[in-house]
Amino acid sequence: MNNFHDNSSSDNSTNIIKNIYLCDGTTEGIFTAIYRAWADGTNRTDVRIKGSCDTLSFFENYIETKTDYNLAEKVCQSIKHKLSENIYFYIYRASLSFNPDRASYIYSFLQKAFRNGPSIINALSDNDVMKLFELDRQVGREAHTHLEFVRFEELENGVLACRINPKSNVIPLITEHFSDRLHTENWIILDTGRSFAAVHRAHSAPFFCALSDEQLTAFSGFSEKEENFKKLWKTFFETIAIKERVNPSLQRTMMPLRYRKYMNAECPNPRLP
Amino acid sequence: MIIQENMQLMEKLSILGNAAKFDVSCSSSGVEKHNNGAGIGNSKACGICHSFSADGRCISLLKILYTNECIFDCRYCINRSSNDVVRTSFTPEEVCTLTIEFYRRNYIEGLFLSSGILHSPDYTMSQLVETVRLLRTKYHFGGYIHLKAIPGASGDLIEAAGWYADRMSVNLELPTAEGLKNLAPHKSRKAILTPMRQIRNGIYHNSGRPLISAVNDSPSAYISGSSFNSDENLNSATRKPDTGTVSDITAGKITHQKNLPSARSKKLFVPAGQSTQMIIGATPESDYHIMTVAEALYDKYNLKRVYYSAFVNVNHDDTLPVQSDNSDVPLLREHRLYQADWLMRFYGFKSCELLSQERPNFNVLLDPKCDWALRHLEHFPVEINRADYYTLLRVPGIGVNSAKRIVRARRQSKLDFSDIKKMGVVLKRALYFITCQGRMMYNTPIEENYITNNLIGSDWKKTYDIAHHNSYRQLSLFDDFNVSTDTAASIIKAEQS
Ligand code: SF4
Repeated sequence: MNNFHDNSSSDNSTNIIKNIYLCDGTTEGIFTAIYRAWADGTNRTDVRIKGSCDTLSFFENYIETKTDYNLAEKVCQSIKHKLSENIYFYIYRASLSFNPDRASYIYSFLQKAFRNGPSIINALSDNDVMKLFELDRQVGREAHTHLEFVRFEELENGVLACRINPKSNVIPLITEHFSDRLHTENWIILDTGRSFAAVHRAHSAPFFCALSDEQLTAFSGFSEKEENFKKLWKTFFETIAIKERVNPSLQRTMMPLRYRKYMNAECPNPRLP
Repeated sequence: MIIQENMQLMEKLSILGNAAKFDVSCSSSGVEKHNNGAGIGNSKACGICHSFSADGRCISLLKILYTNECIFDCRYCINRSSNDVVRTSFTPEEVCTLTIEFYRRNYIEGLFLSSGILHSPDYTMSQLVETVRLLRTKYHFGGYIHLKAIPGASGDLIEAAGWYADRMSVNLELPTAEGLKNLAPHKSRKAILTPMRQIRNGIYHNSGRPLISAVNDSPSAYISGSSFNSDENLNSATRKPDTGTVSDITAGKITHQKNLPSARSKKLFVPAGQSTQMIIGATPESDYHIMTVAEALYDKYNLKRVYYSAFVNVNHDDTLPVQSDNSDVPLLREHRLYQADWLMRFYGFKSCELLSQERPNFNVLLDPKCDWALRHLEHFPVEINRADYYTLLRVPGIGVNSAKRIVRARRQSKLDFSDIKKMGVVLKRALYFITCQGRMMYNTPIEENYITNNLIGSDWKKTYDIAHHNSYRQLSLFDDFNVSTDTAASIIKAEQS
């Protein structure tokens, strides 16, 4: 249905072994593996995230790659220059997805994109393009939902702490928003599943870091005022509903339960530890 | 002592939050501002919802009354002077504390401050202005502020408020002047339209460009009687559909939002524009009447939004429509009005295309766009690979996003039903109205009864759900929610780039 060339080998004979480059799931890891797969020189390559495929195929040759920031940077630059900043952004966001096949999707998209040029993003009926956009949208949606539903709690030392447990790695996407908004505050956003955090000191640029188990325990001991404001919010949250229009299923659609784990007033169950 | 104070604040919040809940607008959209460097806060053009209350409505702002004391006696209002309810007022400092502390915790996008009328309109307005002044100058709050203009307050106070607030609104309350006279005897059309006009004119000075409708605007035409629906107003509807990105799309660029002025560079008067609200179903106006009023408000007053609020008879006032249970609240009607409002703002429809004197009310079984299409079958079928953007927009089942995607994608290759399905077209509705490469999907006849039956068959569940409070998608088209995947995607995109 589309005019784009598909150069991938139509030769389906199984006696040619496919080289699968395995990477960790980070953006840099995926880019490194993509670089290696390209350098491979054959058409029969793919990129996958280590541990994402549990059945090994006899006709596939698995090659582990070690994340190399220089190679990743090269991939990033060639996407930006030969395709576009826009496309780079789609890919970057797709790479933050929780989808175990994301590396492979990105690789297929890039193979096609480099053959056809930046106008590839208009080929909305193409499968590889569609898949990439789906990933991108999914991550974008989750990131946006986190702008809405994350909650900060004030610790004893005045630091605002926020815990999240997203499916995709949204921290890199939401940090800029909060560093502008809460510019004058010290804060930290912690992804409890990944033990990954964004840290912001008042009036300065945020940075990302991995947290040790010990550091994770620092998220207790709230300030004196904290409980009070939580109660005030709960009061407001409960009074604002119009009882003649109560509609829990609509509420659940708009604000899915999985986001409410760290929301005090909105959490239907007693607070989770 | 502290506990005592907190208890008090808690009680006030409960009373004054409860009193504000019938105000529909909770939108925090329309203005893009960066942090001012001195305090907390910024603002996103798209608006952000921070929670959803048990009735499924978005909570974006701390929506409260400054006071629920009131010298007026509007029949529909829980705070009317003749009601025996507990009365209380905030202080400006209390409102600031709540706003700042909620905002820091990411509970809210900002403040929505309305008020009952304490002592006099001027006294009340001056308290509101003092509150927002403190928020902006003492606390350096950079988040969103929506402030009500109190009808009857002096121009100076409205002006002062407009320099602190992002959005202002004056509630029209009822679609006609008669309705207002009967139900809100202390309010007059004039007292409502005067600040509305003042705010519009202030906003128009922001841009330095004259508004089409601001030039020869004789106020008397709108104030007297219920002249909102005069033919003159209808015919002069020259507004272009609010689809600011269309030309960019056809030019091959992807723009994700309109250029909004940043408040850092220049101080603007009510930068997020003004809105208003009408109560639906307390008075006997037809849908057509209501839509023409809304249209006039968009055209003449350049409003950003008109909100419709299904009447709830909170006072059990027997001079107003009786509601024996919740299903008497006209939710489906409210829903149809929002759909039609949406069609006027984003799809280029005029009120007189959707309804007429002869057919003054929306079909309860069909959404206004399907209804329109069925009465204009001569325009169909539409060829997906050729029809222009606006024609595509008028096809049931094709929305703004899918129409844009079609226009983009068909430059690359001819599109078929499976392709447009992937682009978000709802085929189950669209299939009766379109061809792809000259072919209809199933050879269905372009025949009114046939299509009507099929469309109603596939939609009745939804319609039933809305009327009976079960709807889970009921509000999904409100732009306050930003739930459409593309908005969400573009928002994040805009932020990152
Ligand atoms: S002016 Fe009317 S609507 Fe407003 S608070 Fe007073 S009684 Fe209620």
